[in-house]
Amino acid sequence: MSTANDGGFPGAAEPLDDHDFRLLDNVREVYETIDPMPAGLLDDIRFSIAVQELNMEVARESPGLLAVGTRGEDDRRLLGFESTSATITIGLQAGEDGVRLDGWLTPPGAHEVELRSPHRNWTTESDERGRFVLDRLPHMKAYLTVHIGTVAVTTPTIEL
Amino acid sequence: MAKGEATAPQSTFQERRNRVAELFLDIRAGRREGMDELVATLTPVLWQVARAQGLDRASSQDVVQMAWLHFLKDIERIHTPAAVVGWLVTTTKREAWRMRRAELDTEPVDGFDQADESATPEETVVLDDEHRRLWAAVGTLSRRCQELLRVVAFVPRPSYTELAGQLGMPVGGVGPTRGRCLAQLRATLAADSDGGWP
Repeated sequence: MSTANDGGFPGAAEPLDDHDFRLLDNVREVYETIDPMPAGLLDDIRFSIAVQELNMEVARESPGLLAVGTRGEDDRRLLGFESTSATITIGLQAGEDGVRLDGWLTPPGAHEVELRSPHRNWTTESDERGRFVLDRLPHMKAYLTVHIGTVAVTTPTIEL
Repeated sequence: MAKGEATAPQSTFQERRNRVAELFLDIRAGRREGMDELVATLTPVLWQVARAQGLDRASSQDVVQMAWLHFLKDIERIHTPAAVVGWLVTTTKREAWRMRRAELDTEPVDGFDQADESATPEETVVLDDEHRRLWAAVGTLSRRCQELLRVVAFVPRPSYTELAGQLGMPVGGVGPTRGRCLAQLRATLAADSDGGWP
């Protein structure tokens, strides 16, 4: 049945009817079943849009820290991110009360720090050495944005 | 037909299209709060567009994200709400082709979807009889028809007329026609001796 006649297939020129719409509904249901849109895609798109709209710098994960990260206990992770304006180092530790996030910023100083997830945001400020802590966080996907002067630097999505 | 709600989407699609137009006009006027809803409404179509071009799931996600970023950058160039869905579909396709060319340059690939991690229905997904018969019939169509129907199935129906050319369903006297691919699918199912399709 896969012969490629050019438009002259019987019935091809008829208007769409209810049967066609039912067929298409079923085609949609099959593809929704076998190839569902990834659950996180909408959040990722919103994140990209926010980054673009706010003219943010995206800090890339620095691979050099991975070796350090794997040295710690199982429930501890160390992540590093860098952009032209800042480097952000994050220590994550899961405990009974949730996840504790320890951060160090370069350049050091008091900078506004935001942790954003689709459902809730947390805000804090780094101290003069560039350190900050966010505690009792839920396990979730989130990203961290720091405001260094007029520049906003953000990490990609982090799995807490 | 097991699905009692199968004829209902006509009206909901109509509402959704009008909503797309509303959201687009808001966003173009600088009221960006509508972006979330527009993204949620139209991303399912764009996902299928990217996947139908033979990209794997990870690349498809990137491509759909890029299409939305282009949309915001180029929104001034989209002159009418009626053009929104077509513009996004075309942009997604273009980004997908670009991505595929880049992938083909870096690794030898001998066909679409071979390294794809997504499930095939035969293996892991439970489809009921009706859907399995439909899937078998879709499988007999040309690749082009499979791609077209996959996208058509996710496009809001009021956009059919605007997208007729792109969807392979030329507009006839009273609106979009069935087109060759859908006609072929119907013929295939009708020839299926198990019946089940009127």
